[in-house]
Amino acid sequence: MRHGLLALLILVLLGSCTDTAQAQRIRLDMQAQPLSEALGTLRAQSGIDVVYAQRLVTGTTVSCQYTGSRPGQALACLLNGTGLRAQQVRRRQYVLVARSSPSSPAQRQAERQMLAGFVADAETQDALPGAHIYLTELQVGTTTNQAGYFAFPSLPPGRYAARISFLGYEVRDTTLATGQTTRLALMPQPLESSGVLIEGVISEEAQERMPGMLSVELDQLNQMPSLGEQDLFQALRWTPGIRKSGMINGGLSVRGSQPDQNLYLLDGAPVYHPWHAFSLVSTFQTGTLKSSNLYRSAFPAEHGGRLASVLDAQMKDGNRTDPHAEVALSVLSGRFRVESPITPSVSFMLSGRRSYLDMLIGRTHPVQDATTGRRDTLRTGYYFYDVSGKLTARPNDRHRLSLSVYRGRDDLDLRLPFDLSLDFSSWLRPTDLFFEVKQGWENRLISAQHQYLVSEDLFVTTTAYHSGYLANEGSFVQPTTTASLTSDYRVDLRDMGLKVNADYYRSVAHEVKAGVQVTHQQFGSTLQSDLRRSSDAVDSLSQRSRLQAVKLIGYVQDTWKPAPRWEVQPGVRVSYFSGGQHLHVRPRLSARYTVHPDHLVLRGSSGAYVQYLHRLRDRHSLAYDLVSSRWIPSSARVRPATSWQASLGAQSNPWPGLTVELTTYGRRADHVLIPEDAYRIKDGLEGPGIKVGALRGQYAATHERAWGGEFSARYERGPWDVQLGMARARSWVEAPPLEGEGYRPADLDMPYSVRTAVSWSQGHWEAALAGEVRSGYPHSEPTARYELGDLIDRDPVTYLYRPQVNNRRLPRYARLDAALGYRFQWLAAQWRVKLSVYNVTNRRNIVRRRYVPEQDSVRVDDRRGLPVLPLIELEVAL
Amino acid sequence: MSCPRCYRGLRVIGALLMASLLVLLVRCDFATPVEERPFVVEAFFQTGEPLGPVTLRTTRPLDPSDGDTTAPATGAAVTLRLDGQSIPYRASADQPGRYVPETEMSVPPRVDFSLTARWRGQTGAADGRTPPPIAIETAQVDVPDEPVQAILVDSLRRDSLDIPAEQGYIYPIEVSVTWSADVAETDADSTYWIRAQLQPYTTFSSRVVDFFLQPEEVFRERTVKRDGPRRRWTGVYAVPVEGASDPPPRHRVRVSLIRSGPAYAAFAASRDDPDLREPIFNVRGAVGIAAAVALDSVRIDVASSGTALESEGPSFRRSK
Repeated sequence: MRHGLLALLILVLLGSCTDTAQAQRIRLDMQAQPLSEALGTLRAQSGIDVVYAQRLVTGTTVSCQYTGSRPGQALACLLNGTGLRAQQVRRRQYVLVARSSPSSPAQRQAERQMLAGFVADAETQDALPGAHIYLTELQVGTTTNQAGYFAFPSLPPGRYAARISFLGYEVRDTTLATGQTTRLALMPQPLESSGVLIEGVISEEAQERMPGMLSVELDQLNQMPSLGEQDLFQALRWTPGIRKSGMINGGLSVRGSQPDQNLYLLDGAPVYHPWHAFSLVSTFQTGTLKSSNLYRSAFPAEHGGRLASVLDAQMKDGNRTDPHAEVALSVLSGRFRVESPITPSVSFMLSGRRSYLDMLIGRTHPVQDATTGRRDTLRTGYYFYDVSGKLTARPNDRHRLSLSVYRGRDDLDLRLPFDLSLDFSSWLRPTDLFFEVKQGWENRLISAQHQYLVSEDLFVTTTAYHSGYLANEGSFVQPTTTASLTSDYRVDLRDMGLKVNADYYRSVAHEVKAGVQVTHQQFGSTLQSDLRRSSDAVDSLSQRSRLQAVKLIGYVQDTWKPAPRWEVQPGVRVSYFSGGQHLHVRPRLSARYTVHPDHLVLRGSSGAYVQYLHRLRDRHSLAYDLVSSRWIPSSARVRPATSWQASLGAQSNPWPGLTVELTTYGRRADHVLIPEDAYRIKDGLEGPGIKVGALRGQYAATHERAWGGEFSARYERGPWDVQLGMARARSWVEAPPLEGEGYRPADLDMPYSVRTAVSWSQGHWEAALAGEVRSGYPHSEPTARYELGDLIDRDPVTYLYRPQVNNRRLPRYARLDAALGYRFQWLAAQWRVKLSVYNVTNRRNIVRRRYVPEQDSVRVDDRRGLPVLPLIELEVAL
Repeated sequence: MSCPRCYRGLRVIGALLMASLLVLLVRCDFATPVEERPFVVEAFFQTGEPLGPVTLRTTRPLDPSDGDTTAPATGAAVTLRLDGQSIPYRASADQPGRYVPETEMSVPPRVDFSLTARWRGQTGAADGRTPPPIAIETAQVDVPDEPVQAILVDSLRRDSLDIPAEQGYIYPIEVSVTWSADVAETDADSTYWIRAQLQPYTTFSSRVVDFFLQPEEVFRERTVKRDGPRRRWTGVYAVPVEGASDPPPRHRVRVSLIRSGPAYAAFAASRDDPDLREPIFNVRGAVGIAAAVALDSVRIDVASSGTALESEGPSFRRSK
């Protein structure tokens, strides 16, 4: 609450500054003065904004005596006898129109017209959500919704100069007329002249961006160095405050938060485990997406469900004008994408990707013992794939229907002897003692969307989806001829939802967005385990957990533009979760103030958030719950996590080509679950089981605090693009009872990080250097050693005294990556070869540290990061 | 900007934001260092047995070159309150850092205790309740007729695919132990825990096979299957042999049962991995464990036939 009040106070203070100007006294004493000059005088004295076509005022003189404080009356005085009248479009802004006939205010309101339209890609006719339309005379702008639709309601009839811009597209200046729905097409920007991320460009759409939102320019990512696959999440890590929770794998951590505090949406449907290859690459292929927005920290009321961030990605509709095909081969996988029109109003996009390592080394290996003749079959199979497709139909201007499907899966199938070695051939022999691992996890998603322009001022989007996450972990381990483990663990999460969102364009100053959503979630898990310790000692476990919950959500938010420089977005989000019958009403407030369109934009936001799902992992068993994501819904005993967040930011363009942005934020979260015993590791074959109570018992509900400052700068000049991102942040958690009292650094606490990227592109060649320097992750360093005995053990054991969890840090982490690409045409296709070099300097960063007590000293065992790795990728576009 | 005052105000805000960033950037990392080194308390009060000693040690620097390598904590004041009675401890003349009760008495079951130790301005305290006694009723040893083939891996290196392993032979030996328990006292809402342990007087370790053996387990007593008033636990340990036809070597195994409250159970379950962690303590203001337990143990000689040849212990009765 404090954060919200603070933000509100700042807004009020800023607003009061403007009110001082409004109260200024107006004194007009004019005789036969040109109208344009008289309007200028009025503007200067009153601070109001008067918009008009030059032809209306040219050659017109006015005489007027007025003393008072009401700008409307002063304007009427000036226009008396000119054949013109002023129509107020919003507070302190007027438009001059010809006085055709005397009319009442009601009639004048009735003759107002809508200026509306759609913005699409000129080449593919794909709708462009998030494009910015700015009416230059009125100094008012708006952004397109998911269907590419925009509207300025209640404008005086006429033609208005407009500037349309969108990330990665050429800016278009045009004139738009009221009373008709316009279709606008934007040409994609040539690659050499565009950058990578929107942040750092104080263009119109960047100005329009509300606090906490980040748009990723998807088409420009390939230039950057990447390990394995270039995907959306790798791109996000160049943004200050966002990183992977592990060295190269692990979920995203946004501003020090836990990875389970992020919600990933693909065409409106949640994706619960958006990772392939043990979290090395994400399931979000950039080539299949037309837009991707990340909302972090204090985001608006239309988004929710998680505490830290919401990633909202939209798949491409498919090219409506020409067929297009693309194939590519990277170090991990091969992929393709096809998009084409079917009819003038129907198009599709189909894409697929599959790893090929298993094809190179083989999935099964028949083996035979030369002496005994015994046969066996060993297995070394691992692959991942994903398939996504979208069918879009636009029967007319008012309706747009789309059906999106996605399916991605990872599959690991091993049967190997225990004595692994780097000599692969030594594995391949029949053996009685072996292990089998069969793991798989997949996301299935289908989403149907209907976008309906009910009237020019009302746009309704209905989305129905079904999202499933399935995982299985099976194992058979036989280390002796009488001992074995047979285990089968399955996770099944199904999420079915219906949501209706409405955009109501009430006036130039007010755009109201409201929505309702109902979701039914099922959480299932089973475990069958037989642990044979010897011929007669067998531990069997058969457990089943099945939970379900219904979530109802409603929200309303108003995008209020009280003045050309101001935009305020108040909102409220109400949610009800049937598990535990939790009801939360959460306010949100964002504001943006454009001090100078070129030099300074200020943003502030605050809001409250709730998260009903927790992702927990059994911390004991090595036999199951290794790669799966197990989500636990809130209940009467498991409280939802809640948070208050606030952020303040400033964006500036101090000189051409350079954009800088500074953001500060604070967050307080409650009922966040963290491991109760920080030192607990999976160290046994059996755990307490998969029941929610047993799992919840391994975690403690605690408080989390985070704050930080982020600075980003970007300089673009010719073929050069230089980016710098710095973050200074802290995140703390209240220590669970086992650790004592007070707050300690969270596991993902990172006091500072600096990232920089320099990219160059000219002609056929492109190159990039990307570096990162950051503080090491926290770890627990012992400060002393001691001996402690036990009742029945013979000798005391030496332990290391670790008074505080995460009391120290690993050494500083630094890495430099490089990429070199070459584009050419051959065989009527566009080819691109890219060589990425990971860790160019071969710096072996310390990523984990262990302390081992010895007789009279302590040995330090360091685990180091990956060495230099060259990776190559080939891409062909037809 | 039409409002100069506003512009100035906003510049001030901008400057404050920039200044705050600078402050953020120059502030040091303040993960709080904890310099104080506490002392260590080790005390076990065994139901039905005379009051045992309390051992106090100092924590020592990680690097012996830092000096201060003495381990015993001498000159401490130790007091035990047992069932409302205050029992002072005195320093043992034989062993520095060891404190013995000035009063000879046996530890009664089901009474509260609290221990306080003061050393150089630091105070460590712990309390709890003594459990009812426990007695092993039967212990049965099962040795297979032949050794089994087993994979022998010294360590699992997670950072390398090169895992040296070889195959050998072991005898996996099961030991089943039963004990009586008052159903009303150890069931339902009981907080008693059992630590069952097999300690063979021989060594065998294979990182993989160890996962399948169960020489020790800590569990809630109420969760154990019951046969009338009797409860049973089965553990498995292994002894290695050279060849596929070798008989099991003659050896001795100690079988122990410890009944305790949750504090000792947490300590016992977390004390086996000193490379990775400290045990979970119950002493406030210091490091260590001060717990009341009930213990019974037997020693069994296991021969090639696999039957128990002889035994010793307070309450051992052979099952066959």
